[in-house]
Amino acid sequence: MHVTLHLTTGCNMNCSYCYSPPGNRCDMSRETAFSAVDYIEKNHPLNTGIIFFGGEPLLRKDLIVDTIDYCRQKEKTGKTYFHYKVTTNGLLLDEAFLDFARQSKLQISLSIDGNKAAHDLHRRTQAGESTFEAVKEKALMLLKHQPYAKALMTVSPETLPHYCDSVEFLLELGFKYIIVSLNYAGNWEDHHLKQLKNQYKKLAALYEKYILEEKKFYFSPFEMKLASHIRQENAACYQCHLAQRQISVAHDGRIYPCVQFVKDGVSNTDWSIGNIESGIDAVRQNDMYKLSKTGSDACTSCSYNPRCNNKCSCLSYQLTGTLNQVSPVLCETERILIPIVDKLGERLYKKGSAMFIQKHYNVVYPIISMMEDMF
Amino acid sequence: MEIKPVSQKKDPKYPTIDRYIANPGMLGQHMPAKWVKNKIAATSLATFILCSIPEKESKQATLSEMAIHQKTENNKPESLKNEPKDSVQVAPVFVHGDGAGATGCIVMSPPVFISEQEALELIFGKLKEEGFIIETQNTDSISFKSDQIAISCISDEEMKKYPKVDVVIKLDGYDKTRNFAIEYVSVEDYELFAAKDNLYGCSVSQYDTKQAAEIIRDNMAKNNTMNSVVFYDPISVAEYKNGKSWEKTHKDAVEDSKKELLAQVTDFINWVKKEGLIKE
Repeated sequence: MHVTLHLTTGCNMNCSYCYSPPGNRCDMSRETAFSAVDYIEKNHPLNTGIIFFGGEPLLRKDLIVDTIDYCRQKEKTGKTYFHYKVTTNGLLLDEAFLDFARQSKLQISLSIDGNKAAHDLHRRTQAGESTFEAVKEKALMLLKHQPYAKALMTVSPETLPHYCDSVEFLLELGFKYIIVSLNYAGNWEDHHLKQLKNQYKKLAALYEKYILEEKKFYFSPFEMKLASHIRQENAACYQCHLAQRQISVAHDGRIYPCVQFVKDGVSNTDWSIGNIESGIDAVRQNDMYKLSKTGSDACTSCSYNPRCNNKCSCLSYQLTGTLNQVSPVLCETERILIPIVDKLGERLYKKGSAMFIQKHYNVVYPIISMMEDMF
Repeated sequence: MEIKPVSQKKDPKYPTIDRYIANPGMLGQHMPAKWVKNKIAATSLATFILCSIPEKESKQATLSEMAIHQKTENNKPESLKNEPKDSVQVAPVFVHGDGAGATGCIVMSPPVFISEQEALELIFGKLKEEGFIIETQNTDSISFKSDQIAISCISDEEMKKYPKVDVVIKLDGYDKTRNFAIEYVSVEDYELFAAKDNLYGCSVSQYDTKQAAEIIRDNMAKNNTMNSVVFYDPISVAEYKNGKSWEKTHKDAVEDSKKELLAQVTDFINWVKKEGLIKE
């Protein structure tokens, strides 16, 4: 189980594509955070991930420190175990917090959209100023402490021309894990799809080059689609399990099925499935899950359906207002991505690329790779 | 923009993980150069593979293959490591020898066959002289459905009524550095295509390794994952003449077949040079 704690609705940035733009700041209280931990301990004691989220969660470093400390006390009973992640825009990262993160094994993921042209297009301060140089500096600081930190990159129609260059920039900056989300809620038009196709082709060439040079990296759009063919049904474990393996806790203790349902924490309470005091409404939780697993006839007759990102209910909700309907833009982008990735897979396999084969066909690749890095 | 279902008729031409789970030794043939230099990584991979291979399979062979692979990788010039290979090329079947014969009641000149082992020694020996590095363990298999090969006592029309056969062939050799698969069609391989259990009244057994080679070759081309070449048993016939012992007649026929087979290999080497797959 992954539990996302929305520590605050406040943010020190004002990204133009944010699905939960900062308004009246509401913070989670210490009592609510601790009650959430109590709830998790009682209901999901084994190996639960706690994700600190916002707004900008580092506005509440104090609460992160206190919550992890509270979790550690719980762990002393030996009956429960937690691991921790935080997603940040990076501006408030500092050496002291990074030291704390190292000690508490808190994994930090940084939101960064790539090179300056892409990043500054949407990710600006409240005053509309550039954040690129500051975030780049923080990224380097983060990578010194956590070399495997994830870069979370959002690609919008407006930043498409910089997509491939941005990925290359992040790889050269030192990121090994690049997680990309397309901003489907953006203003997509047909010419953007052509741009996207061209960018994916450029990215496929870049991926191929890096793999043949035996560089180690993870580029989520391609890895997920390669895995969806190579690992077949096992790839389903990467897909959405709405409200089953993840929940979000808003600042006021209300529980939601996933992060995007929380919004500003006050305006979307119809989608709440319970709260940390009384627990989850199991009937509602199951109904939502079952509904999320149904789909349109068009999807069920599509060959790409088992490999499609149409099962992300959070995304479906954001784009269609329902849990089970796919948006045309998602359908179009998936139909562009899958054949390009398959051709890439075929090329690399045909070339007998050792790195490609180990990375995708060796079930213990992550362990061997880690040992290689350690020694 | 619209929601439009896709009808994908063919699977992507890279395998699923099941193939490697069933044959973990294949991972040993694809060790990244960086792992070759890193004893911990190489040992970890070897340990994983050895733990994954069932007892009945040859763990020693797998280790030897990995050792050969490591040696090859280490000796390869830096510029050649991970050198992108050209697109897949499938050689034509080089025709030397009829690859056909028959045994049975009316046959006066019986065919002689080269055993798989003898043939592979000849083929691989010649190819190694040209720099091929051929692995024989844990090679890939190809599988396909095929028409049965017609024989003379059944009309082509009649033959069409026979069911297709499922053919599975484990390739005889593979040169990883050139992504080149090598297959030799012996008379035993031919049997996979042969009409059987339905030849009522036919007392003759016929063989056609050349046609079998052509079918395999065409399916390798369709498969389109590896460069490949298919050789076949030329099947010389033992023509007994007065004054010549049967033993000598048979031996001469085998020698004729070996010459024909080597001629196939020579043609192939000339072809790969012409195609620029190896340097002259």
